[in-house]
Amino acid sequence: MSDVFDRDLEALFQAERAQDARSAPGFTNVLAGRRVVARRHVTPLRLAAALAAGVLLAVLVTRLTKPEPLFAITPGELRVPTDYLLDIALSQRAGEIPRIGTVDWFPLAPSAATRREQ
Amino acid sequence: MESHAWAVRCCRGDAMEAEDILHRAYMKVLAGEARFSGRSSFKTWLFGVIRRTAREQARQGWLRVLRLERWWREREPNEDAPAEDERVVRLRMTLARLSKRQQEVLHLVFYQELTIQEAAEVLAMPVGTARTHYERGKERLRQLLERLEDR
Repeated sequence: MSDVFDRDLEALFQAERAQDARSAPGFTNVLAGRRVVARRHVTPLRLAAALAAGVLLAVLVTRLTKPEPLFAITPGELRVPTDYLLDIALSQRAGEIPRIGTVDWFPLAPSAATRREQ
Repeated sequence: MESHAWAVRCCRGDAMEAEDILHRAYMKVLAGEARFSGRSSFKTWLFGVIRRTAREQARQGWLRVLRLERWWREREPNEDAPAEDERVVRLRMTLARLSKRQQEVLHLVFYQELTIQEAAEVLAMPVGTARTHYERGKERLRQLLERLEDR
């Protein structure tokens, strides 16, 4: 049984040898580093596809490697743990940092200029 | 042709990579990096050089993955390749399901017509180990081929 199978195997491997003999590269070709299978021609379509893929890859890499801000909080939302101590009844907290020179956001006493007009 | 077939086996069936490996192995021999000392037959020694070169190349495999060369190659079928014998296709399919060592030993014995002793020298393993791979590989191959015929 084993001998029969050995002969079958030998026949199979011989068939593989015969097939390889048709496609194996020659010694000189291998030594010269030349490919047996010819490289495919670069058609304009393939070139365009390769370029598009390159651009897409570059965009993806740029997007993915863009650094995220450490804290994504606007200054007006910042609270410290002792902030509640400043809370008084009916008080209104500013929603944003005031710009220098403008005071109309805060209900203080009328400014000097307003008083002069009055 | 025999060296090329062995190189293909060492590269798990990648014919183009096998050409690179064979080229490197030949260059090693010509440059004197690998020297034949006469302790074994020339064929056994050369096959050992090819195997070592394939292993060196495999360690640098990640570089080829980065180049995406293999992916590009495999996505387009080679129309110039000759049609494959059905029996050979089945043999290769079943061989691929064996362990790498079993594949190598069976290839060296049946394809390259080496003795188990010579196969052990090529694979740098004890003869007993090579014999075990040979027997187990052959038995597994027989089962797989029979199962394939039953379908």
